[in-house]
Amino acid sequence: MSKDIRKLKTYEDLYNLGWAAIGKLDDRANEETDVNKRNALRAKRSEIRAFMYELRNAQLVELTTPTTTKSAGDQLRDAVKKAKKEMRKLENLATALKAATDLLNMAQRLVKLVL
Amino acid sequence: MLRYHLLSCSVVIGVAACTAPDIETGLVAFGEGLTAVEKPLSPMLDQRIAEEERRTRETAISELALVYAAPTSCETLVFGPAEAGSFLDKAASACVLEPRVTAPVTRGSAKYAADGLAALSQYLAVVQDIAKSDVSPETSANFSGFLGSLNSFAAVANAGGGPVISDARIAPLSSLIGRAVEARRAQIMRRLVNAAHPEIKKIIAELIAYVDQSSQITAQAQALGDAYERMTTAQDNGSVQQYRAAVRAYEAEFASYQTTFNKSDTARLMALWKAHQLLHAQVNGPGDPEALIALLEDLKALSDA
Repeated sequence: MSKDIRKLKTYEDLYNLGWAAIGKLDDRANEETDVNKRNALRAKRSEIRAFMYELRNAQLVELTTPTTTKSAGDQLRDAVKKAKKEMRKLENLATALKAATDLLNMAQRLVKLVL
Repeated sequence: MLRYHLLSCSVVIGVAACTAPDIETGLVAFGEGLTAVEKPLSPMLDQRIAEEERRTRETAISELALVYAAPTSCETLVFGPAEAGSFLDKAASACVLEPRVTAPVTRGSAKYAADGLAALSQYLAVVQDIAKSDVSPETSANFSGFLGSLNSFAAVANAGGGPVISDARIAPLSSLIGRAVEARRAQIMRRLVNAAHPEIKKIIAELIAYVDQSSQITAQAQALGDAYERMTTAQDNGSVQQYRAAVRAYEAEFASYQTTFNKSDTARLMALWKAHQLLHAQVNGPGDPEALIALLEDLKALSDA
């Protein structure tokens, strides 16, 4: 398992792997009628589960530790700002058409006066 | 009623086949999820932010640093009346206590958590604005008006030259413009939700980690699993009496954990994340109705808790 872990990059990967293994060990233990074998399966399950909590606790510390990288909140605000800008551009199109109509109507009145 | 329909068009707009996946449920679920999170969390964060500010100020005092700016705005209030815009023209609201030292917004602090929560609110407001925007019918109507005016102008300026565009073509052309604008609106929405998705995941992960420091939900989950292991160990030991007692203990631990978890900020934050997953799926495709039903039930349970 340790060999696999080195290839995994995120806590999420490790959690998925670990809890899937726990589920399999559970299933095998539940089917096992030999108490000694069942004990061994459950001991392994317990070991992996303890490791899952070690990982989770480490992640919780990491997620509450100051960092110099740009916050997710700021990244989200950037995305919102960009969308607002794009939406404003689109709305400007409708406004520009209205303005062009007004201009044409005014020009029409002018032409009527001149002709 | 807001229009939360999003056109999904492909290939060239003019010949595109457009379908409209309904994102209303995703948006409503996200909005409800956020309200459920904010209601209990915001007052708690406000309180903690005040405490962080107080601690920062105390540190500054112990270092003999200046902690407040001069109350000039408050003092000048009594020197009026004055002309608008002059130095002395101040509203009573300008008189506020102005700290010169403030707690930093660092990850793990209440201020940082509140900032993440605020970003989620801002995001929701903009997604709702884009979803309910009537820019496409408006553009379509304005374009139709523009073509009509163009024809009238041509008729006046160039008598006998005929219309620039035949009246019969105005409506289909305007509709086409409306559809193109609608497709663009859908694209802006989809891009925003997709760009926001990983950031929202991070914000929620950080908020869950933040609230776990006081709620200790993770430790309680571990205690629940430990109770289960004690039960299986008792089963393997072969004593019915011990096993029965361990089963009872596990049942009690489970009931306690379930009640605590359902009332926790972690549960509400997880529901919020599920809601965004739904919105994300709906923006990018038809979404999963079963996931939606489960989520709406969760949200109902959490708001009742």
